[in-house]
Amino acid sequence: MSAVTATDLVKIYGTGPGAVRALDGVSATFDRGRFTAIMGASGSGKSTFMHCLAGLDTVTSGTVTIGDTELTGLTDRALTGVRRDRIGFVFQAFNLLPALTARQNITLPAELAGRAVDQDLFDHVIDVLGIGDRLGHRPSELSGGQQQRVALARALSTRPDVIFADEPTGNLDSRSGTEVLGFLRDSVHRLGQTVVMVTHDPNAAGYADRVLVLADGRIVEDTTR
Amino acid sequence: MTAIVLRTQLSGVLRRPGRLLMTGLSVLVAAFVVFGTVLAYAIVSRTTLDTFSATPEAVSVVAYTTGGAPLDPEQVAAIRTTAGVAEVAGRVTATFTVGDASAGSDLDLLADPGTGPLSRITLVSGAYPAAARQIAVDRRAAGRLGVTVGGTLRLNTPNRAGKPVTVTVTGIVDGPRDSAERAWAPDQMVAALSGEPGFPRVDVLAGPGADIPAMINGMSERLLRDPTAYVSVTTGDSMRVREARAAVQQFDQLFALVAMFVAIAVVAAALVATSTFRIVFAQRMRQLALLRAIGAQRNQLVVALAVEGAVVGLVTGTVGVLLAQAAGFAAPALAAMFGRTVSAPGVPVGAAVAVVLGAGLLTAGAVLAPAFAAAGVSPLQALRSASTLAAERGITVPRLVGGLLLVAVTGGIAWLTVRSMGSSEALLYLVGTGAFGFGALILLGPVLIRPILAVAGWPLRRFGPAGRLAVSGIGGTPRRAAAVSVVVALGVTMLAGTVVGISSLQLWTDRTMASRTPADLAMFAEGRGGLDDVVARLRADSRFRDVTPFRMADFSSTDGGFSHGAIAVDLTAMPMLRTLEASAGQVTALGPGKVVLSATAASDLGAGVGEVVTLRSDGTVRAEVVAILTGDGPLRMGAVLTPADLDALGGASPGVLADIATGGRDEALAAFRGAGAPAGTEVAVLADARDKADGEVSSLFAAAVGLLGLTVLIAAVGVGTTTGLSVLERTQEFGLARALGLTRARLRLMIGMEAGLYGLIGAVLGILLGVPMAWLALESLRLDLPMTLPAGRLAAIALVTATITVLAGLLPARRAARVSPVAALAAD
Ligand SMILES: Nc1ncnc2c1ncn2[C@@H]1O[C@H](COP(=O)(O)OP(=O)(O)O)[C@@H](O)[C@H]1O
Ligand SMILES: [Mg+2]
Repeated sequence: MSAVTATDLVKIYGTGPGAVRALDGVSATFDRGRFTAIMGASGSGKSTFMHCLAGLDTVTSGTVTIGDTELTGLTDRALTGVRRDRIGFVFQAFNLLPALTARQNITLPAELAGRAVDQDLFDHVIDVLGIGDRLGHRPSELSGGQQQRVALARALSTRPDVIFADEPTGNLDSRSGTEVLGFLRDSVHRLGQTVVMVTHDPNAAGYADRVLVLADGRIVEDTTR
Repeated sequence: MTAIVLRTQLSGVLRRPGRLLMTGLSVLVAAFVVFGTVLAYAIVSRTTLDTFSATPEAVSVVAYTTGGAPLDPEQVAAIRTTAGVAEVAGRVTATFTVGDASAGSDLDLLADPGTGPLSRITLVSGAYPAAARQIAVDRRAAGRLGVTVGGTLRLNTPNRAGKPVTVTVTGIVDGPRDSAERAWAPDQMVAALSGEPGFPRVDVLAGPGADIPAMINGMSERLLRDPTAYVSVTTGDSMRVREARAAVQQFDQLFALVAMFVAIAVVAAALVATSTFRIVFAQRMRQLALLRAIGAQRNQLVVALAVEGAVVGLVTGTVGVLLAQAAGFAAPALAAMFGRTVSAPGVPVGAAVAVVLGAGLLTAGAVLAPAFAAAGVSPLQALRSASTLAAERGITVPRLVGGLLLVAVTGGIAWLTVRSMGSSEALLYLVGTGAFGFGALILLGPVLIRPILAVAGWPLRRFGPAGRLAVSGIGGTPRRAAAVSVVVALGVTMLAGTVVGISSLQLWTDRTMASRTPADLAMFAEGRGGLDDVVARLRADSRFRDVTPFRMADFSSTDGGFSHGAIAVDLTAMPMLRTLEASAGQVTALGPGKVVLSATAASDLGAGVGEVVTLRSDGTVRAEVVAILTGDGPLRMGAVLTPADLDALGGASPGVLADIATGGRDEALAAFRGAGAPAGTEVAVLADARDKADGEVSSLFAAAVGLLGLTVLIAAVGVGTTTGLSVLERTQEFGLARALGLTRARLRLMIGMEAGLYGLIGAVLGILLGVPMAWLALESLRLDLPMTLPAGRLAAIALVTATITVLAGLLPARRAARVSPVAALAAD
């Protein structure tokens, strides 16, 4: 079964003559345990596509299904619950709540759900990402690469159905970027995670198993390796 | 260059007028309060001048003495026989006690002709007194004293030497009211009853066509023949104006007090403005850094930011003044709706301009510290990302040192305060202690946040993730939290101090009342005859409880230097009597040959616990002192004895005390009177006196809390603006939290709790500072009030403050909850 399915997604920003058709009938399925990259020129609709897939934004028409849950039509409350329990996020910048320490940021989703933290998984993820000695620090005391790794740890530690990453390396130097991409790929291949990553960087896309290319709100290319 | 910098800053302000209002909201409220006070004063004085006068309209001339002896009968005769005088009326008030001389209720007897243009009363029923030993009472006195037309009252003159007089009540009247019960009689009869033949004041009615100036001249000439007489003669009109002025003057003092509280509120507003601008400038840090990077000097930035502050102050000050003026104009119409007549305040332009300029200056001043801090931004900041800017460290070393220094100074002055106990400097030192203590709080605030949060935030952590997020949110920005909480603390310090002071006053009043008014009702028999039948009947009546007979007598010291009352009563029989406290010895040790003394009696007798004293009256009693009370004895008596010892003293008269168990006071009073007491028995409603004292304390409490509420209001505005501005700044953070699964409701809850925490931390700080300050004040001002810790009331203050601040945070919380999770991803 596929982790995420999108059918005939249309997203229109604004109304009247100024309206922008950011997504124009996009359909795609994302299989479990696969690393998919979404590419395209700036303004092609990559971020919009991801926001709609992740239930961050509503669609104008079409449906999104995560696992067996259809997102369209869910109340804000239910949608929030889906994001909390079944989706992990890594953003380009501003991934962490500044008032919380790294550890608190990582355990935040479990905390929000009122669940106990899976300590084994937590330890494993921390170990793999090598941030064990930074757990007591606040985001302002971490480098950009460390912040991204903490965000990654947060996304992984809930064992989500899918992790969405929007330009996760956009703000990083190439070495940190390479590290983060390596971790993402390892999480897919070793832990069996499903990852959907938006990027405009061909190097980054090179880590993925499959590459979708968007142009003007449509899928124009779909390559699987 | 400065102009360009200023323009970039001001254009930002103008683009977002909402933010301008938010930064200046505290100043707006302060301007409103200050100008509102000016207008309220204008309204009160105009209303008083327009409507107040204790002198009837018909009075054309008033002769009165200022200090010294009253106008004697010869002088009054001289006035009466002056050419043109149609009628004169002496004005005097004599105070009597009805019932027992020391424990009965007060009755003011006022002189009034009863009819004609000089009268101030109207007859309701019966006839106005026309012969000696007759009085008319007002309706309230009639009800309270239980007299009807034709009934009698026994009046004790204020100087105890005078024999009680029995008077007949001939009529019931309506007249000007006062807190005391009032009775009325023609001037000569008042003089005869009080034994004082003169009047401090005489009202004169001129005959038709009389020449008033000539009359005044004539009177002055005849009255001032005696150079030692302090007599003044003036027209009725100028007397009326004078009385109105005096009434206004009494408001002057009140308004001076109000002005003090308003001043504290203004300080609070300045603190709020400082904290708000600090946040606004922090949000503009990147823009300011960019300006610095391209060559703007620090002082240019400071000037630009200070001018911005002044502009905000002028604008919001003007709005506040206009709102207050509108409210002032609306006041007469509003009062009319409640059936009151109130004069319009007018438009005090000078005061308005002063308030607006003051608001501008205050805000420019408040902005200086944040402006210097903001202008010190490193140009590199322009290149950093937003999340790094949100980081906040503790406090700098100089600030810590300064704060500790202030703590030391505060301690030193507090020590001086204790040392100068009772002297006139004590108050000055006390104010100093408060001011420096508060300064220390401002400087050290950020360090105190985390420890207080650990305690105060504990219950919130149990609220689940929203609570924990709120606690760590505040803990992560200790400086901001301190800046807001300190303003809340200012209000709460004053409130807590006042509450402690008033609780002490209340305890003192309760103790005093326990001795003065040990029961709801008291009966004093005239003769020696027992009241056993009455006691039995009252005990059988379910409307009464704690029915307790007592007997009392007078005694004096061996040399006759003073005289006190002695009472024999079961000290365990009534709840109030059981609360009597001894400063030395044990009240329960009372027995045959033993005596409990009041504080004054003990000092008059020079006796301590364990010593034997001699009490002299018709007989002599020697008794060992077993306890000395903190104040008076029951019914203000000097000594408590056993019945046998009191009998040995001789001349004892009996009485009964009782509490009302069920039903209304008037009904119980009637039953009490109807219990079959022998003739000449007087009844006193002691509960009335207690209610009056309680009422005074609680209105004092209400007034103080109301005025201090202003400061708390401004603090709440501060919390609201801070939360509002933080919300603007934390859009990304909230978006992220929403993306990660925080529901809207929980986000609202979290922000509300953050606002509540500002309030709670402020309340804790305020109580920690206010309570010791109040104790220091009670101790050093030698007010002789007991120290109290009204934990319940203080907890209520903390709770109410937290609630108010939660409410202040709700509006911004609602807005924040509307943040879309996509906002987290928006690159800024
Ligand atoms: N909130 C919005 N309102 C209006 N138009 C938007 C909004 N977000 C994105 N767009 C438009 O939708 C299109 C796709 O944007 P986006 O998904 O951000 O592209 P990408 O991430 O590929 O650069 C662009 O033309 C963009 O201008
Ligand atoms: Mg994008």
